[in-house]
Amino acid sequence: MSEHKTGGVRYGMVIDLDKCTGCMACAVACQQENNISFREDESNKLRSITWLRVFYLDNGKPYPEHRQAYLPRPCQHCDSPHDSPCTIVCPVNATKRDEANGLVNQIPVRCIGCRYCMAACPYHARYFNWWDPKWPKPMEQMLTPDVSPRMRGVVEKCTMCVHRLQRAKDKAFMEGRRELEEGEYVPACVEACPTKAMTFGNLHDPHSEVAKLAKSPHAFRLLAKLGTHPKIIYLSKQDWIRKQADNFI
Amino acid sequence: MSGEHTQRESGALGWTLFVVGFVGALFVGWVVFPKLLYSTQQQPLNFNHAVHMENDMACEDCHGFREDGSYVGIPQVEKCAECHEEPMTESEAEAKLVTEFVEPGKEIPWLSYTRQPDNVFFSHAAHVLMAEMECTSCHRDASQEEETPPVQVNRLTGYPKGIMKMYKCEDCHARASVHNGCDVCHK
Amino acid sequence: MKVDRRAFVKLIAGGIGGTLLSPLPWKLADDSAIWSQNWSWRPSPERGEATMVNTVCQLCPGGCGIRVRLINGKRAVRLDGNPNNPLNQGGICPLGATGLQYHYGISRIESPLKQKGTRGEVKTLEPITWDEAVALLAAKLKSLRAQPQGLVCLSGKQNGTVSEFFSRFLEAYGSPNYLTMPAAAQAESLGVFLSQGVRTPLSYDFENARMILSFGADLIEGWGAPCRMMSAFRLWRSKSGSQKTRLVQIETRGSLTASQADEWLAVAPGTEAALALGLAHVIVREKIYDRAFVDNYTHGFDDWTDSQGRRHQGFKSMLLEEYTPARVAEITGVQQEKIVELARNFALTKPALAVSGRGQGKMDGSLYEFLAVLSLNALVGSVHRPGGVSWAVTPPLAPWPKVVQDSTSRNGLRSERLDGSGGPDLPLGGHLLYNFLENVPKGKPYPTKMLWVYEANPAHDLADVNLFVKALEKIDTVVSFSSFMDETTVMADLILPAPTFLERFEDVSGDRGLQYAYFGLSRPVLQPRFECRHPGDVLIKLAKMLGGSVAASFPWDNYEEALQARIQGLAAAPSGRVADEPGLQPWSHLGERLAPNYGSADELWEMLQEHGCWYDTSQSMPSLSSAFKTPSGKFEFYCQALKEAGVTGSDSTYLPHYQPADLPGGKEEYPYLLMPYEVMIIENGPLANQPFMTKMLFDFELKGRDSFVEINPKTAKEVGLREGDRVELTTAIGSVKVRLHLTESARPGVIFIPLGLGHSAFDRYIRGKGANANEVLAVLQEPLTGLASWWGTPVKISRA
Repeated sequence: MSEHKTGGVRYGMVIDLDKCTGCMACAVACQQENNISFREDESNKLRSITWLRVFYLDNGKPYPEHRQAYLPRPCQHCDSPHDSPCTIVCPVNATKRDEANGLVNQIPVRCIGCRYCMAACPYHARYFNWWDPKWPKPMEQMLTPDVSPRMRGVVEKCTMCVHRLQRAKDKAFMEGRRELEEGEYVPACVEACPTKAMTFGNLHDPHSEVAKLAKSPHAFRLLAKLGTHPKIIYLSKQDWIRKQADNFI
Repeated sequence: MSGEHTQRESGALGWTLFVVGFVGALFVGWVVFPKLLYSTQQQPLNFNHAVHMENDMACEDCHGFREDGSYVGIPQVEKCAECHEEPMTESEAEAKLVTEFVEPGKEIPWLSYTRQPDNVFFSHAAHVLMAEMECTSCHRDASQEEETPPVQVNRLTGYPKGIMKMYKCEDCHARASVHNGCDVCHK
Repeated sequence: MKVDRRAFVKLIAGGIGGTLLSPLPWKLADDSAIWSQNWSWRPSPERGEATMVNTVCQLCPGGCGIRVRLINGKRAVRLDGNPNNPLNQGGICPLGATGLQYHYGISRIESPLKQKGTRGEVKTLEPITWDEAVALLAAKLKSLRAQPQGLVCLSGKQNGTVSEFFSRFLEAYGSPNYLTMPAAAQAESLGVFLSQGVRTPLSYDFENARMILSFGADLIEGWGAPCRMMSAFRLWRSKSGSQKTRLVQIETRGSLTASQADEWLAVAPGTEAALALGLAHVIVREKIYDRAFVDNYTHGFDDWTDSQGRRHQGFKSMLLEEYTPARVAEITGVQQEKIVELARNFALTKPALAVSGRGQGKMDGSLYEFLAVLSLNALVGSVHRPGGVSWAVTPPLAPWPKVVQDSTSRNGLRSERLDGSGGPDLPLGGHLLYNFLENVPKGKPYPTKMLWVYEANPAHDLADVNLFVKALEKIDTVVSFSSFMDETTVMADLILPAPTFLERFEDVSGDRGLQYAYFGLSRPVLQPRFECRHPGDVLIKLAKMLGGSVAASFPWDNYEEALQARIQGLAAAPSGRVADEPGLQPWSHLGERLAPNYGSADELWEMLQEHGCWYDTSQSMPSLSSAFKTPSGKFEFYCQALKEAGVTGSDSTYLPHYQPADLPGGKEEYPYLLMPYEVMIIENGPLANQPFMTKMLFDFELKGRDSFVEINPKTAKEVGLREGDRVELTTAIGSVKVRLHLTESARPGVIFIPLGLGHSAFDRYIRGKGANANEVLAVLQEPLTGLASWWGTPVKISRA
């Protein structure tokens, strides 16, 4: 993150895996919040769209030394210098990192479906719409107008609920403020988490909770060796979990 | 009739035809095409802006902000019902408003002159409250209108004619040195 | 004049030139681009004003506070946790987050239905009007009134006023046969009655305990009120140093709770009681028990002599004789040193509490296992003390007027219960659903004429599920009060669709384990989607049609009025508040009085609708000197109440003890053990998964239509099977086809099967996916209590 000026806004998340119970409320809340479509059979995980996917980890030891853990994986919103792995390859500028806040965004309407970004993403955080989304008629009632439903042939991904940022800004403007206070903008997954294992905020604000947690000696990033500088930071006091950060998922 | 003459004649005809084609195409392109491209749709109900203004109403009374900073746009029938529970005048439009919409609690299917697509987020708060822009810098001044004008809808895209295009947003943001990132306007 | 080729070309050239200088091509190109992005074939959600309203979730008995995000006040687009609610503290579980898919789902029932063909056939269920449906049911009830005990009601809810409405109706009508679905709270209530003289489940002060010993309770995977437990887990993990809370999990399967615990003891299947007594042995032997509590407030610790001069063995000498670490280690497979170390830790860390109830606590448990764990709490003095266990606290709702009786109802209520509960063989009482199911086909002691099912899905959720299906054959009329087309509803003769929790009034009193009084109120935040009627309103209507004393027992115009009448009690209580601010921590002022933040019952009713819940901390713990209502007036290790109830046997019958289970099926034929497990992402209650949750299942849990069972790689190798192999599991009661997932979280020799899959009803998103574990899980009934403890079934495995 050294490339970017300090003092600015860099939204990021800290996920404490020692507090995660693998309940998947985050992933379900994400689907509801972002109008993510579903099909009758979702067991082919290469075709299933889950902006936030929860991975299963274990320590590989025999019973009863065996331990399991869960790892929620939203888009890592990579902060690598100049560009993120996915944004640098997009031929049509359909995905860009917003340098004002560090969010890697995706404009599905502009996407041409080449899936170069999916190949480039080391976290498998991008999803291709193999089919048009189809909700049973009554369930169209529960679609939120804050997020536009996508179509067949385009890539989509976690936006860190950027529409909530837009909403939070509008509210601040209404109150005559330009700056947001901590906690005014929080993605749906973080809000849902029943153990509050997820913390969200501005990593560049030294007083923010998320910046403090990110300095923990137990903090780690996924595939840090690739130099992608994820803004999703994980915490765990357990060595075996930290070690898996460099495994390929 | 010499061949030369014929050639010259035919050349002149050719150039005439060229001009005919050129002017015809210009005519089609500038006059006929726009007429064909847009369908003209009437609003379900005439809304007399002028008469509301005369009754000391301000634009913001109907087209204001909600507490959460979102913009009302065209208000819901509930808003109309605040005053028009019963007809206040003899107007035909008002009678229709009361019997067809207010009483059954049905929304009026207003056609928007500027509705943006689903994937666009436009913050009125940012433009009006923060940048202090006038409504009329983007919208027509409707305050003196007695008749709501028909809406021109693009047959191909389905969007109204008055819709603002992305290049305009970008251009204005660039000139005002305002952030131009994708997620400022897209959702 | 002749237009030659050249002239024509010039015409075209002119046309092209003119076109290029007109907006036509550029506009068309631009518009086509927009058209291609227009995507009119996918839905475009209606925009409008967004509002948030509070209510309470009813998808499980937990009763979390939730917020509903509405667009234009009529369309719900999101459910999330209410930060003001002390239970869930703003969090939400996956089931709650999926909530709108239930409301807007396609398995909702749209109108009353009557079965006009054979039972179980969906095609012959015909829509009828509400008037017809109620008239039909009223006529049936009238014709059965001479023998009112033939009416049975099975409720899936353990508490709440709607359930009370059903039991009230039965009482007024004259039937003693109100039953609830199995739950660990039943053994718990019985155990508390036997040891303390009060029939109530326990409350657990998890938030204040510094050590928690869980005997198989998957505390952070849906046990009790799931979000409350997860909030407590966060609290345990947030404390540090001497305040740190230590969780020790005693469980056969390496669950997530076991993994996230500070320590996991992998215990042999079904031996939790032995381990509890082994720990008690060490605590007693090393004299590290709470002497003040044991000496002053317990009975039967030391050997004692009764009034007739007979000498009885006490808890202490039984422990010292029979539960030595060596023997317990042999039974449980836990090392002796571990037992000693854990016992010391448990006794010396204060406050500490022990909890039992396998999995999510949705199955009956064993009485003695429960008593063994409870006695551990007593030994360390964690009974009715902060950080320990106490009694469930019920909100002080105003009672309804007494049920009006006539001679028919009095006679009916005097008849024996169909489940034998309270009868000569099963004097301890309780809701013994399995006994009922066994008695129905025999018509014993009298025939079952009509069964009502409310918020329960026994045709899928009961172990040995065919027992229920078989019992149905002998029941003349089955009525379902359900919102969804579940397996039981499909089998009904008359279906009376209920509104969902977003469309109706209903209360919840906090699920198992909460240490303060809690009252949550759901209210209609959305217009009903269909012709649904509140079951409470249906009962009132039925009562009015029956007339006489039944009608007099239901003097209200509607359920809302009846519920409002009970709120008077909360309003009149000297202490209690509506939760209207974030970050409330009722557990940090247990026993304190709270100044009400409302003036009248009407104001309270308004505030409950606005904020969602009421709570009170003043009633949290009874005083030790007057709490126990047992024959000795003390906490009884030696349960004299058992003797009073007519149970005979040796001294050990009255003491907590371990008895190995008598499992169905021979060891030779069925060499492995099949145990059920529960996870939060698979709904295992009256509902079935909706697409949002099913989507999150791993492909080693569900793939296509196949579900998986967990098996240890060693066990798989023994039988020559590999990851993903399709197998048939056969037990004494049936067989299912599943696939294998090899994992070291499974104990060698034990196969773990998830509960909640294998639905044959509901909608196309869940129907036919996976196997229903209940088709192979046998029920083990405890002879003394008649309660079903069904933790394991011997099984054989073969390639399918």
